[in-house]
Amino acid sequence: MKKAGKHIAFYGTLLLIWIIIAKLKIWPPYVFPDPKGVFDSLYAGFSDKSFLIAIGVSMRRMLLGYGLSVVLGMILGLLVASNKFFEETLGGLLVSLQSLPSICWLPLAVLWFGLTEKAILFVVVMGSLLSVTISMETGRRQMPKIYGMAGRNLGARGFRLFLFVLLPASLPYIVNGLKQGWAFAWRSLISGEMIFVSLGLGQLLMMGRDLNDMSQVIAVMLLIIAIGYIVDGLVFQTVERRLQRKWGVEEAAA
Amino acid sequence: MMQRLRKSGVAVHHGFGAAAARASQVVCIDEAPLGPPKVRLEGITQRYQNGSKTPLTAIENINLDIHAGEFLCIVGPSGCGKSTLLHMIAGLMRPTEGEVWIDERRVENTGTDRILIFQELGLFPWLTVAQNVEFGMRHGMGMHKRERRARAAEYLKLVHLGQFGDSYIHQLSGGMRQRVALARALATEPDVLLMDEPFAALDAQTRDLLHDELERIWAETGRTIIFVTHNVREAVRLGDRVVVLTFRPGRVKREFRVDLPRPRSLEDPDVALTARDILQDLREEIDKSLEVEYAK
Repeated sequence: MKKAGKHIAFYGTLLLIWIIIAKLKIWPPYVFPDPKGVFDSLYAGFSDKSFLIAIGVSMRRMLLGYGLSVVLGMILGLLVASNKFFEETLGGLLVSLQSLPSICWLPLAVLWFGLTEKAILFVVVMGSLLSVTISMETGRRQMPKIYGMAGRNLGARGFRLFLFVLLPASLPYIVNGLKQGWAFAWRSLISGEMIFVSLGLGQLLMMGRDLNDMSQVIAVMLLIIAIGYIVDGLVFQTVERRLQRKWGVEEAAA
Repeated sequence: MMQRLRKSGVAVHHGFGAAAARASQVVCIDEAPLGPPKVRLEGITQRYQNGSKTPLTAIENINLDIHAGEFLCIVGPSGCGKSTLLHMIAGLMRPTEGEVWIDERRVENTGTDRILIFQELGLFPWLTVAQNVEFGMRHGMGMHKRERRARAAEYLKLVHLGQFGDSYIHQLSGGMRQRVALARALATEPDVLLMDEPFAALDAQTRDLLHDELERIWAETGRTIIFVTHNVREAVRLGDRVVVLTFRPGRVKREFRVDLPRPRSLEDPDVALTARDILQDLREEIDKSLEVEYAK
């Protein structure tokens, strides 16, 4: 409860500073809105359902793109981890590709797929695929060897060994990468939506700019933060903590 | 319960002639025992290419016959290749030279006829206790659900964990986990049970308890057990025969037959006395291993 008090004090102060600056009217309200304006935008956005629709569209793209990159990333990661040749070639390429912001794929994507859903999915997949792949690869290595041995010892082989032993055993080691992949996918999606207009939260943000409506811009930013926080901070962290406790894996750092 | 008792010559001389009996408790075995062995280790040698030019010989020419229903204990200093030997019998790895035979069949792969209980157990944390016990029956033997459920329950009861089938591993104490591992290994009804220092990490009370249970289960099920430990007293407490391995390369230094009456206890003076004899042999090897450790 003490922690909650600290949070209230901190965010309360932040809000207060915001109100004071807005009240000083250094900048016109369409450049620097006050909290009430942002709240009104939020309220209006939810009551005319435009925010809900945008969230729906963005989440659908996220689930599709992220789901795709998880499946592809796991396969790729296992391939790299289990084969010396791929490790030395593909592994290096993946690491170097990681320094490329995924939005850089957008021109290519638009060229290949046109201004379609496919293009934005491509950007989302490219955003998270690498971190999922790399975490799957390292997870496969970090996983204690004992599980694989125990599985074989009890007669499990081949695909059964993979599905019922190796995959579940590596979960606590890859969940962090999956989380990271989600965060990357989320960023890629928003940037993609901002640049190339067709519904979604990113487009809503740019619309606010085009209409000189900073309240809406900030309202959408708050939404993006909130969604990211809910998924990342609540869903993933809960799953991660549960897995690690159950698997008996000590957290490296809290 | 005791139908399938071992036929081996475990003399049950209760009380009388203790002094005379003691004299014959430790017998060095020179000749191979008679009858076809359950497990045969034939010229087992293991070398590692250790980066340097000369390969490290971890195990050198080990020959051992283990008979059906025998409780064999292997002792030796750390680094003598005890665990490696068990992994070979389990089929998890193949020796550089030599062969492992089970019932005169060459070991090529793992199989549910011989189950290894690892030192670190290797229980699956994502499965319940019962699912852990069922694992070998399901994925190794392809047994039907109903049948393996019933059998898992039976073996959990045998190790006194009948109430814990739905628990997860992280909810159990060390001694309970040990028993889950034992039940999981027994559930495939392997002829040969391989145990790699299974009780090393337990407190003394729990270990005593598990010794009693293991001895009881062995008597009830008639399994062949190969038990690796660095604790000589534990070996004498449990084994029909104790094999001492040398330090790097691991070779059979000496074999002892333990003819003390069962059930035994770690505190039995006879157990302590026998252990002392074996320890003399082992000590030389431990000294060698320490020399190497400190020389590093």
